[in-house]
Amino acid sequence: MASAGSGDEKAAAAAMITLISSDNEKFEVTEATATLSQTIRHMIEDGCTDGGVPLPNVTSKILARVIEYCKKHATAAAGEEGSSSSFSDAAFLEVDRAFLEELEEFDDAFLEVDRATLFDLILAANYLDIKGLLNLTCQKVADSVKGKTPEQIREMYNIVNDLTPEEEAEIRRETQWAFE
Amino acid sequence: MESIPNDMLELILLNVDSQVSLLRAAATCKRWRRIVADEVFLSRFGSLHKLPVLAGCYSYQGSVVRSLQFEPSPCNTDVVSGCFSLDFLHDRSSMRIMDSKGSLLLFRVTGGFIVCEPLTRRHEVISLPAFPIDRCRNPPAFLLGCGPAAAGTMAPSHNPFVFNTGGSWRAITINRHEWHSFIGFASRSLYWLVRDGTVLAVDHQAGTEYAPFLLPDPDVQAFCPFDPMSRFQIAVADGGDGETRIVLGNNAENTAGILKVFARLRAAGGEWALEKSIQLTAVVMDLPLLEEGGWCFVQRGRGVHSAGTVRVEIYTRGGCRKFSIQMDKMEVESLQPDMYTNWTYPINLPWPPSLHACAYHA
Repeated sequence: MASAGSGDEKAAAAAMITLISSDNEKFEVTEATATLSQTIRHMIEDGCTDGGVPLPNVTSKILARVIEYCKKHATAAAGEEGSSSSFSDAAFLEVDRAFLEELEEFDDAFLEVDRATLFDLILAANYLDIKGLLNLTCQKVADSVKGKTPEQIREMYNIVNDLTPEEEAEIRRETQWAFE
Repeated sequence: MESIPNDMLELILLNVDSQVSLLRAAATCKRWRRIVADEVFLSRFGSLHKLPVLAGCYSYQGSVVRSLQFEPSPCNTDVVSGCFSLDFLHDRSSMRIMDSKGSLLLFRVTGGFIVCEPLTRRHEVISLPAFPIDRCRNPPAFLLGCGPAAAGTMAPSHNPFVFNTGGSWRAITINRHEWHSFIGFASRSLYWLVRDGTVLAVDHQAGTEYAPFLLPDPDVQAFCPFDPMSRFQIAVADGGDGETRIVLGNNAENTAGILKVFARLRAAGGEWALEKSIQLTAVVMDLPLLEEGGWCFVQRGRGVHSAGTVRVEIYTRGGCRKFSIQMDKMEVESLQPDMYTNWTYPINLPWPPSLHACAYHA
């Protein structure tokens, strides 16, 4: 595996990285999958991934989900790069659209998790610096607020109301139109 | 939710679908409110969601009994029309709408004006200035600006006065020139034309006067020393590109219907020069030939969404025709051929919102 020709693109694509969760579980992933995380990409570039990458902030349960996301999206990225020359434009667009639809379906299904898991995914995406996953999970929370009253939002996310009744009344008075 | 750090909560709140949802989210707890009330956050949210949003338009309906109606815009799906009711204003029968800008409306009432923000039901009564206004009994009035603090200002011609809400009238003095005529405003400046064809501009906020310049039109210069306002129609407009334009129409019969647009050159010195000419009759097929004195520019009802447009009223035997000219494309749009209907006054949802209550700024 470790041929002398360093920087060989094909060898790099096939290279495997070991990720170690906070509860010491090991996950073998391809470099293409792992480098969706900017944090890991920088570690690889700095050559400090020998013996595995410890991720003390991410549990095995969450890391497994994150890897699932990265695998799917790494394939999508590779598919986009590889297919442009082998299809006519129309066929390429057709394949492209089908691919995007499939990816969207995957994302929707991926987000079908409880709130605690969703928050853990946000934290992991932030720590691992995976922009796509961070946007996806934050958008999911943002969408859930739509059309809700402040009380409903608090209930949904166990937010303690630290505003006094007087403060709440003042807030409502100021932008009453947004509450009608 | 406590486990989510502020910067991620900020990312979540940035992606909330609308400003109504955002304002509700900002009422859940102190932490959320602090994030939303931050100026930088609000400006990022505003550009991400392309705010402000056009809420709808006010216009008068009916020719005999005039009542002001609100028509919501398709972009506004969040705020019910009832919120735009003006029933918090007393004695509405004697009020006459003059202008709209941002989320504000300006009315003329007996002895003065009222500036109001329908959604927040805030209003301020403005008495006419104590110093003498010229013979004109109904001086034109405009909203010059609008901010979160509802800073409405206006400038009756010919002697201009500016009023800042919560403040008082102050007269704008123009040096040197005894005779001048108010021709309009754009961005922060008010413009006047002097009898010799010189244009004066004053920044109404800073009160600074810019260097006067001669309107670079041979017809205007040839007409002097007669009052150019008796022959020409002049409007000042936002060009839609952030730059100011001066639009000149000649009322002389042989040139009627030609509009000249002047812009400041970008080169050093910033001189004004003719940018383009537009033949109104060539653009509007069925437009009757413009007659001397039979048309004018209208400088009111200038909401944010009409920035970059100039409005023209043309009087014919059949009534009054109204047009809107898009400054950047020079497209002419015919508006409401019915002589009884009036200009519409667009209004936006207030943005940025006032979040003073319990906004514990860091």
